[in-house]
Amino acid sequence: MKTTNKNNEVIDLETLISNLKSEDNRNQKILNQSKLLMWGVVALYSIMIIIQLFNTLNFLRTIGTACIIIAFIILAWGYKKSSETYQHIDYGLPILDLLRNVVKRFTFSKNQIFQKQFIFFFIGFLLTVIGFNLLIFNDLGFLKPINRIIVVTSAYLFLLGLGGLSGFFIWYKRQKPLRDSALQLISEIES
Amino acid sequence: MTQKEEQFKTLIAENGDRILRICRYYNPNTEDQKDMYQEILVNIWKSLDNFRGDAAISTWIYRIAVNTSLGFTGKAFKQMKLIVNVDTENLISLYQDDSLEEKLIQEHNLNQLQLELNQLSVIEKSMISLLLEGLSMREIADVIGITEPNVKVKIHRIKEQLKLKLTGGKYENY
Repeated sequence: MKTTNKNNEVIDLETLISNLKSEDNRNQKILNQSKLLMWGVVALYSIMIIIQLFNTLNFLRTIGTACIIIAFIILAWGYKKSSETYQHIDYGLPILDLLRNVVKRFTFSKNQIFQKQFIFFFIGFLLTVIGFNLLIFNDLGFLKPINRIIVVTSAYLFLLGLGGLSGFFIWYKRQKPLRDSALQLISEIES
Repeated sequence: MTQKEEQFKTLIAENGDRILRICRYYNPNTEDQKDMYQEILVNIWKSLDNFRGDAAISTWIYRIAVNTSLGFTGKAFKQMKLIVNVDTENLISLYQDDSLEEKLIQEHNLNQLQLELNQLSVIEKSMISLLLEGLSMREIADVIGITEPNVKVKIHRIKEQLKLKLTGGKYENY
């Protein structure tokens, strides 16, 4: 519905509002479904641990699965916190503040290492390494215990490294230019 | 209608004109103006939940409009143009010298002014667009996020630069 207001002749305001509300609802739905999925997976794995405990009495596998579940919860929480921090750009901020937020968002600066979510990411990472080692430990019986740990940890680090490398390329191609532009504008404003 | 929707409609009704003017400063054609206008409205909607009333509504709207304009042209933001014409309000505020007022309406000088304005940096163009909107130095400082003295220095520098270029050798030919 178009209004007679001169400004609303530029666009159909009612349609725009309707679309914005639909997008808000869709985003909220995705968020709720992700939460449901996450807790569903946690519940499923918790049941598997209990069954495993009673059936196989395999202590190492049980502890390994528990470590991975806890790691999953921690990483999911850390990801959620990061998303909340960086998801919404507040365009109502002064230009300089918005640009600084852009730089912070796209720079793995020293400050970010000490932010809570990154410490939890590190704990989550350690728990997954421990978890995978415990899960596969008995399956690699042909190796010495220390070698089993080295193989599993190396394989995990290799896969993590591949993921990190692709993440770096994506950052370099898409986010670094934005950060560099923001830095240039900041330098202009502050000069 | 939700409270947010009501608030949004009121904001647009009261500030639509200033948003449109900002869009006209940065886009030569109507279609691009419409696209930018819509993008600003979308960003107002998204930022509405974060508005705590710590700034005047008009300042907040100008922030969103200028921040949107910086991202609107994407990679080409450095080539962002500032468009003025004889009807542009407060155009005279760009000039330090009152005697240039009459010359302003002459097409050649306007074209020259347009050319010189587009030589300015992105941030300088943003500041000029706010000056053309009739914002005070204090208000421009609130939008940019720097101090008022800093804004005064920058705008004075821009005006001196414009005056030098417009009243240099070429003007003497007039």
